[in-house]
Amino acid sequence: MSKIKIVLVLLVCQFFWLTMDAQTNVTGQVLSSDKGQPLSGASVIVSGDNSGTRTDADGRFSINTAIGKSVVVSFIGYQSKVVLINNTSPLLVQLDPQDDKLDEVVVTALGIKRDKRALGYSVGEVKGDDLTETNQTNVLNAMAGRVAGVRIAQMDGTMGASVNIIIRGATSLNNDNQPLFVIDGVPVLNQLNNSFQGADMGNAVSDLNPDDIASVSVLKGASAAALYGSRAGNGVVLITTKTKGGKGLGVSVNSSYVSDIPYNYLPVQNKFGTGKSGAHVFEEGENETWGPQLDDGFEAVQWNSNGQKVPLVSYPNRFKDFFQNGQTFNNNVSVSGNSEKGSFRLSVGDVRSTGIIPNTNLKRSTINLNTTYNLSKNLSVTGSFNWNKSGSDNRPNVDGDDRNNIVRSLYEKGSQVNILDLKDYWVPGQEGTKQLQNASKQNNVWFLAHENTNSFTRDRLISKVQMDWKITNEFKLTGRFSRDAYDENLESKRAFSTYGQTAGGYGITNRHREETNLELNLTYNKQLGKDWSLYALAGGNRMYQYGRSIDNYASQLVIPELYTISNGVPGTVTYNSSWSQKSIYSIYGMGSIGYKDLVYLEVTGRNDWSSTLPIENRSYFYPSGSLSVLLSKIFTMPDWVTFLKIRGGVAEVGNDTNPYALNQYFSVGPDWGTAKELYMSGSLKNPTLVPERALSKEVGADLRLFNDKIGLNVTYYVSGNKNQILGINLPVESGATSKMINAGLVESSGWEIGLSTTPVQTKNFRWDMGFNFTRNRTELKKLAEGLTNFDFASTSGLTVRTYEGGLIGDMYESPMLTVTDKSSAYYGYPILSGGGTYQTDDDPSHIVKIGNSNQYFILGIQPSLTYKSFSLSANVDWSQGGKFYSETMMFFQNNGYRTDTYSGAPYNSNEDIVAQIKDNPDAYFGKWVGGRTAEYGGFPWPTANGHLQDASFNVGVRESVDGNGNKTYVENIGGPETVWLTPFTANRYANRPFPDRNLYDATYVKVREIAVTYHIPKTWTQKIHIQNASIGIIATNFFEWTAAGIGIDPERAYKIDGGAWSHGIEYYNALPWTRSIGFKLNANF
Amino acid sequence: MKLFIIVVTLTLLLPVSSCNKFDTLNVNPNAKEEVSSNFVLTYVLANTAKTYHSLGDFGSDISGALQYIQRGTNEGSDATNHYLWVRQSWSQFYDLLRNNEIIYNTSITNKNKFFEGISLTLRAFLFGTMTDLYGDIPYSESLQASTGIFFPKYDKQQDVYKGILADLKQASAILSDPEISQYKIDPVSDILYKGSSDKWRKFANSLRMRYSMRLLNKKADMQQVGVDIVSEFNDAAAYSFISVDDDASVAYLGTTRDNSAKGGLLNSSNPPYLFKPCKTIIDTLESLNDPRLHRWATPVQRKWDYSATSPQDITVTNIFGESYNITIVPSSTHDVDTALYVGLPMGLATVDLVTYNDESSSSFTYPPERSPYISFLHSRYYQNSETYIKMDLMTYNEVEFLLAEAAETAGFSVTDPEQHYKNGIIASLKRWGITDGANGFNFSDYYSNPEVSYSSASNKLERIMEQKWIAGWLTVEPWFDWRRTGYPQFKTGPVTQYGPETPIRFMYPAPSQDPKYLVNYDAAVKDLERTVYVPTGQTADHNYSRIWLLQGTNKPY
Repeated sequence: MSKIKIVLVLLVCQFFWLTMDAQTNVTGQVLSSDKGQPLSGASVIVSGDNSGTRTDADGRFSINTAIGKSVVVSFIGYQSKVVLINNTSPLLVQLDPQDDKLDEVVVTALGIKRDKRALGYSVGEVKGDDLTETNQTNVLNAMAGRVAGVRIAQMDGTMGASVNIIIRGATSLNNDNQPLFVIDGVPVLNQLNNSFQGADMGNAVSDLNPDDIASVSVLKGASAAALYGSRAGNGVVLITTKTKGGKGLGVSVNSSYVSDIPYNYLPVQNKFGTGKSGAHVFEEGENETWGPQLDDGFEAVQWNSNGQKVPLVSYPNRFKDFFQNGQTFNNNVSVSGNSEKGSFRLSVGDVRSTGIIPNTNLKRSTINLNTTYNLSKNLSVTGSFNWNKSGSDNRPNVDGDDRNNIVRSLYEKGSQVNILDLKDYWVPGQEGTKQLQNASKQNNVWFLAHENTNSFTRDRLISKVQMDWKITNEFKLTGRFSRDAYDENLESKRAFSTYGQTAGGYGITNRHREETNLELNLTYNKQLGKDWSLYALAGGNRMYQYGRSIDNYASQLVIPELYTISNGVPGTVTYNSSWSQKSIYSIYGMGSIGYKDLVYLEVTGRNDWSSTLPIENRSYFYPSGSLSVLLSKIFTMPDWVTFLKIRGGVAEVGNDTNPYALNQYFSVGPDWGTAKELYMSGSLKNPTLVPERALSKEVGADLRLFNDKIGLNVTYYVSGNKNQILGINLPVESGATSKMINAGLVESSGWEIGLSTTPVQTKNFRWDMGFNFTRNRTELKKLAEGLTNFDFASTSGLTVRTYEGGLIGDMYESPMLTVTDKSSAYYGYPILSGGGTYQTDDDPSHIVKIGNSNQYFILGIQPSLTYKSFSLSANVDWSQGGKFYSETMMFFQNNGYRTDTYSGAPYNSNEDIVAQIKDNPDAYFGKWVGGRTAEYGGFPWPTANGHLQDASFNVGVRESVDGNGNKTYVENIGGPETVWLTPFTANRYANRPFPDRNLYDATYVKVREIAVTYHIPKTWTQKIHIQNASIGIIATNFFEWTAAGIGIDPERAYKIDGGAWSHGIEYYNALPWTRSIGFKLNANF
Repeated sequence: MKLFIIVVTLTLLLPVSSCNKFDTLNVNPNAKEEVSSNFVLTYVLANTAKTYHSLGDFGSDISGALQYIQRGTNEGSDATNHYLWVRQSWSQFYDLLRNNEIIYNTSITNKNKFFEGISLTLRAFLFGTMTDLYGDIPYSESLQASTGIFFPKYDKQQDVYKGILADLKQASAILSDPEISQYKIDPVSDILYKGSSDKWRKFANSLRMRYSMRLLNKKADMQQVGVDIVSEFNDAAAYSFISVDDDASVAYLGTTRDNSAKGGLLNSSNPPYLFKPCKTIIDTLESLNDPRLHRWATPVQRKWDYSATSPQDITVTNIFGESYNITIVPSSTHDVDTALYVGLPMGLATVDLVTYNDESSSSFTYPPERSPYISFLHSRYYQNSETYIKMDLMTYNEVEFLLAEAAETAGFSVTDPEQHYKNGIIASLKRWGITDGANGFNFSDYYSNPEVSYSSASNKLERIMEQKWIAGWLTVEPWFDWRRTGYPQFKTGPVTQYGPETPIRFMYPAPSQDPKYLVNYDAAVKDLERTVYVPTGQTADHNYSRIWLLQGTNKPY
């Protein structure tokens, strides 16, 4: 309500302000100065406000303004011109063509605006408009595919999920590889692992309101980032928020509504019901669906059939019946003003979302104030305050191992369960204490959604006070004090009768984190004579970080539905409190020399003192250097070459470690009655650590052709990370499970190519295309003395491991045990256990590599079309190659949810199976043969055991020992000696131990964003005193194609799991895909 | 204005100069580098008890090998029922040893003899259990990561045993120091013996007896490395456990998940119905009319009866007065088990587990893991804590059975095997709250059974081992005894993964892939002797390979 009031007040103010000026209509024509041709589509903007227009086919325009104002006329490929309106006579404006974009500036380290041509390294840029095209609530999602060398992936499918951003490959083996985020000079805290009780609370960078962002610069290599010091080893994302340009007061309003529509549910079979013993018996308590055939007259007692036998029928819509459409309302109002004395911009934003899982939501309110006041001509003070509050009443549990995971619970319900029958999720008469369950091992999904909630609030203030003093024309001094602090309150509730937690539970955690920076920079900028220019900077910074957390957890409650810690059952309450701090003092300097705008050389140096390192090693210095040469100015180029620059840089960045990483400390164990337990964990600390060094080299070229119709930039980089402070795993018998060491050299290398073109440009129509190509490989060059491999993760027989000299992302498994004796008649046959099942070969030297999780390349494509008042833009992301392992698919197969689990390997039932296998062994080895019923290829059981005809087997030979102790092979290929198995068992042993069975191509193409915008004609908007307005239809995640074709988004296999990378492993991270469609309104007053 | 700027500048710079604080920033406010060994002792004791107990507890691989337990549905049944044993982690052991070593090192620094004796005893206990399970293990070079030994060699099993016996002997000597009472430990922290050095000394000596007897078949080999296991045993027996009050047992508290028994609600939301008592132990107890049956299992809920004509509900009461409602169900076939207590037979095929002893197999209406035709573990196994559910590290009855065996074996100074055998049974009964004359139980009647009494046994060792097996219900020690003696003579079931015998060792944990580690690992694997049951193509690091202790002994098979 209050928001509407603000808008009304602003509208009223705006009305008075507008009526004060005497408006007049000015017409004119825009021509090119060289050829005298009219320029169609040139922009004519009244400076001081945002009103403006474009020229028509003849280069003519008409605009409402006032005498004494000026207009800015600009056109692509031409230099802009400012024209003062003296009278009402028609204007003739001639624009000079640009030989190159000399005036193009880019925000670099420490917020320094530099000419792009002077840079010896590549900086990725995203304009604020591109970020808000589809009103995505997380700025990182909107950046996906827009910057070469940057990989952005959402960690799970829920709205508000944490987003992983990796710049130029993950070169750190044991941290989350996230870049440093800096907003208007204020470093902000961000991390990837935001899990609490299995729910993802979103990373802190999602607290930002994209509507406040003017532009984002991505400093990719150490060269670009060296001035930021320790934390810049993974790159820096520099965010510049909007400030007011021009004079006067402006108000901008924009609103959007988006509906998230789930559309791609994992395909599951609906033919067979719950059980694992076979189709002859219904076992409702199980998670597997290897039970009786449904819709086939099979009768059994069901959970809700009052003890009566009823025919089992299928409910194929159990996913659709549960998920709902999510929706997001996003509203922003900003008001800004500018005068000689200063400027301000105040914005208020509000986002409210509900998720596709019932009773999940996300809220965010932001207030952002940027003000500058000019104390004198040479002295200004800037203050900015960005307050935001994010929160959710319930974030869904997405932990694959957890029975509170709604998605998993839903998938594990058999098809014979009508999910809607569970919707009233309490047992009548036992509300609050007993959930309605179809199986004792399963939580009711509605119960999970409504009762077992995980909520959070995050209250954050990013603030800054800055003073800029222009001492002389050359010297400028900037002092800045900034603080980013947030308080996070996390709560989880578990109701009575939760599986695994019958008496419920309650956890509450409070976290506070803050960082302050005190910074002083002195810059010197001077043109030395005619040919030389110098830019120099010297500065210092004091950084201080402080964090504190209090966790309380009651694993059982006394009184149901009372969620307080004091309601915990005595002895079941655990609590923990801790705080930590660290500080880094730094001094740094930078110098850039330019010669005739042809060659630029830049050097930087920085020295840090970190409190976290041993006193003798805590000071560390690192330099960088880069060179930029404008070839197109030195050599004569063909006409069509507008601009050519080559560049190169070498840089180093040092890094420290976490607080208290040097010494061994005792940990506290659970109390044993009145006795306190203390123990020493197995992680061996290291009091002699030295700083890490990230070394990065890059060369590249920027090329623009055909009057800027084509722009190309290419970069090749090598970034290494050596002396990594790394917890390496040790065999536990050494007395330690891990040791902190300085180790290794991990080196990423790759190509980044950005291409922008304007293939078509006519009077009313313009087509732009942007391409961003990324190719990265990360190699473990060297580990540490005495160590040869590094294990990242292992699950279900899969090991993600890299050997020295190998690539990050390699996956291994133990092969199947087979007859290796070439003289044997059974050479190559799998050797089965006595139980008739496949075995893995346990010899550690026999492990085989089955794939690598890295993409060959990622290509982002951004087409944009403009026709008259319509514009269409899209963002397409194509990730090619790489493998991922889906534990979800493994369980779907193991549990018989997949439609390909009706039968084993195909065979002709009219012919002898033994002969078929012997004729074509490769088609059967490693697979199961048989089926769920006779119809699906099941064999008759040799003894009547009550089963249907569903005997199945694994293919190979078994070993038998004769009376003399000699071994012989017994055929297990369907003949009389075969050990018959249930389909469940036969399938399990043929697939589950061998991860390659569920290894998939990670290639995908996603249309991440589409926006169709209509700019409402001025003639209409002016009638209601709106300067310009647009209305748009927006869609995100509109379309996705995956090579795997299994209904699982490969992007979900690249998440972080408890601080460790799960390179290419996906586990129940399988929400339905959602397509978001909505509309957006934008108006400027 | 200039002044203003200078002031602002100085203010901004001021905090940079406060360097004193900087030096102390990295002092951890949350944890200590040194603490009293009392706290570490509680950790080591609680977790040693849990780790050791879990080796033999229901659902463990060994509970299946000892035919105490079978899994009633196919959930994980391949390991328990069919011996599909996978690699076993030893990280718990080394974690405890690391912490125990801290107690030991601190005791040396602080000259605290009591802690020294305790830590030596626990070190021997932990390393001993590990070498029993795996064979060669990292021992002499282990636990030295802080000095740069990341990949300790695996010591020969013989050397490990030698070291264990030496440690125990030294512990016993230290704990018998007349001055020992001046070295205090906190009785609250010592959750095993409440600070009684006398009991710790008995424990150390009882363990010496256990390990001396463990090495009986390797007597000559041990003699060669200077260890006389007979005199070790005789020496230790002089001051060992003398009553159940000496038992090295830790009771569950049942207040938190951490200190509760595995089957209670705090640890198992779903009561552990799927773990069934095995037919072997049930039938043995039933045939001996052994009262311990009533402590450990419940009658079936539906009992077959060939003579009944219609279902009939009756109430049965066991000797402890616990009543059960059961239904007598008429049966027409003759391949059902009509006993009141029905155990699940060893090693049934997975497809036969769910429906065992149920004629109406394809149409049952109960959750399969709660088949009313098979006995459950007694409800005390579903409690967070219960009087008789304890974590036994070593018991007095084991000592008595060891003495009985020694008395029966030439060379030991112990006499009167029957008395010790009897004492062992009585001690076990007492352990389970069964005393002569109470609850209508008459020990003489029980003992007079020719299947129990010592004198009627044709094979005395087998008789001792059978009773030791019963007394060792859901502990791991009977498995080591079976390996060493071949008794009780277990018959495997119809389905086994690798052959018609029971596994005889644990596989090593998945080895580190580092070549420097593999050198040590490969050497240890080389010391193993393959039996015919190790599949072709697999390495000797297998459950069916003989460790040094069993090599050349022809035991258990």
